Amino acid sequence: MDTTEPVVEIDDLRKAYGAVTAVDGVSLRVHRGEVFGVLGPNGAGKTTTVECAVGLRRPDSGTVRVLGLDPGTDPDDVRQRVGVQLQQAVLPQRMTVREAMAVFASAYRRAVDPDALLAEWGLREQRRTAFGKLSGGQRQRLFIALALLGEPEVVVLDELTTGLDPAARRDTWALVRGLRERRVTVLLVTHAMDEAEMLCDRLVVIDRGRVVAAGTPEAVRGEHRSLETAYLALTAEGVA
Amino acid sequence: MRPLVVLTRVETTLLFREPAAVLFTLALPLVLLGLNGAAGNAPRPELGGAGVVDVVVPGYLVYVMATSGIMGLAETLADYRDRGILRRMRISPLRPWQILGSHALTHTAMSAVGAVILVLVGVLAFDLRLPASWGAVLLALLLATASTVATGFLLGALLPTVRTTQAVAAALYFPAILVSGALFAREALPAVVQRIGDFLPMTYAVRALRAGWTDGVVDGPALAILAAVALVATLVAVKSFRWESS
Repeated sequence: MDTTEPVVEIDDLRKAYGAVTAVDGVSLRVHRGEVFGVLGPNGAGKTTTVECAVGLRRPDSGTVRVLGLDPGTDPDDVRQRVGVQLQQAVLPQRMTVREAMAVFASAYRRAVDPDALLAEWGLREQRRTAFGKLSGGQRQRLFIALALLGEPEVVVLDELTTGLDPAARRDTWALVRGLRERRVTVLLVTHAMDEAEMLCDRLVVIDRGRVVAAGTPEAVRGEHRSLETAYLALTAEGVA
Repeated sequence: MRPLVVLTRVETTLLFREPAAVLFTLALPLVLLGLNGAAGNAPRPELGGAGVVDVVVPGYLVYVMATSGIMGLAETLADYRDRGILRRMRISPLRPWQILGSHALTHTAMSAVGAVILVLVGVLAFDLRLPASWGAVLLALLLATASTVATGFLLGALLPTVRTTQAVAAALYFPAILVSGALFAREALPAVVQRIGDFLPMTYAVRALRAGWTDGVVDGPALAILAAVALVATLVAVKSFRWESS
């Protein structure tokens, strides 16, 4: 298989909210089967870029292709094939884990077995638990499981391990590597440098709506001691 | 179709897990029926030969619809938008009509359950007479439900936050249930209050339902008003619906 087949192609994407420019000419290419990191400080434009990629927002200009489709005109096809775990997502307080899985599973043309997925993500015991009673880590794993329900070819994970304890982070990373072994393409949005360094094949660093660095973690690290120091030197956080 | 069915099933379960929804929608009208029906349902000339129970039950059916369809639906939509639940659903392959349709069906189901309980208790315990025309009553129920659900949908679409939605929906709902004849028969209200009621769609829901129930008459003008409200409110709501709070 051609390992450089692009599954996400973004060219010169721009998006402003009123007078605030969120994304100012971002271009990137994600290849099939890789874990691709989108790094940057809060407010850098990461989430807006991802939202344009799944058709949740319409770009002001630039082109977005996901699996060869335009999310703006083909959102239904894109959403069948791309799973998304959103930062700070919520579900109704009284909805149980099993009900949530049933609701979202019903929307996919083909869905994996929800119970097997819950077992894989350590939520088997919580099937009857209401969303409002889940811990932060359990909620996070539920949203990842929901993102994987439709056997997606591409998974977007936005702030994957925020709020998880160190052991849960390690477990989650192992599961992301498992996705990669299944040739699922992962778009990992994060500002956790250790996570990016551990998981990503390639990454971009976005700051103030622009790509300020791109390449393998080693290439972006360059002369710096770690990805973190490179990142701090590249982004506004280091200046402030 | 399957996502609509599953979503409706789950949303209905969630609604029935909400103690306040069950209390105000299902239990309160039964308490009122108990108070008003205690004196029996003997025919009264001033009510055109109908009994007190025959007159109040159609009003309570509208009360149930309004409580679930206007208050409940508007608040649920605003809450789902404010907390990002609609956003999470939108990035899945669930279609907008499935998401919104499930809420409309859920509140219709709640109204139907409330109606069945009221009529059963009314017939078994309070000598409620059965409708003079089932057809006229079912037609009135259908259009009354459509107009209340559409009104709730409109409020949930237009108002910016849960708090404003609750406040505005309550400011419309409470006077409406008092003035329209839903809670108190209109005959018992002062003339000036009746005039105010003439401007409320809910008044026509009660009127059409009573006409079908006690007189067996299809109240064409009232039904036309309900249909128009349902249509216009739905169109405006669909046009102005926002999936995210700004």
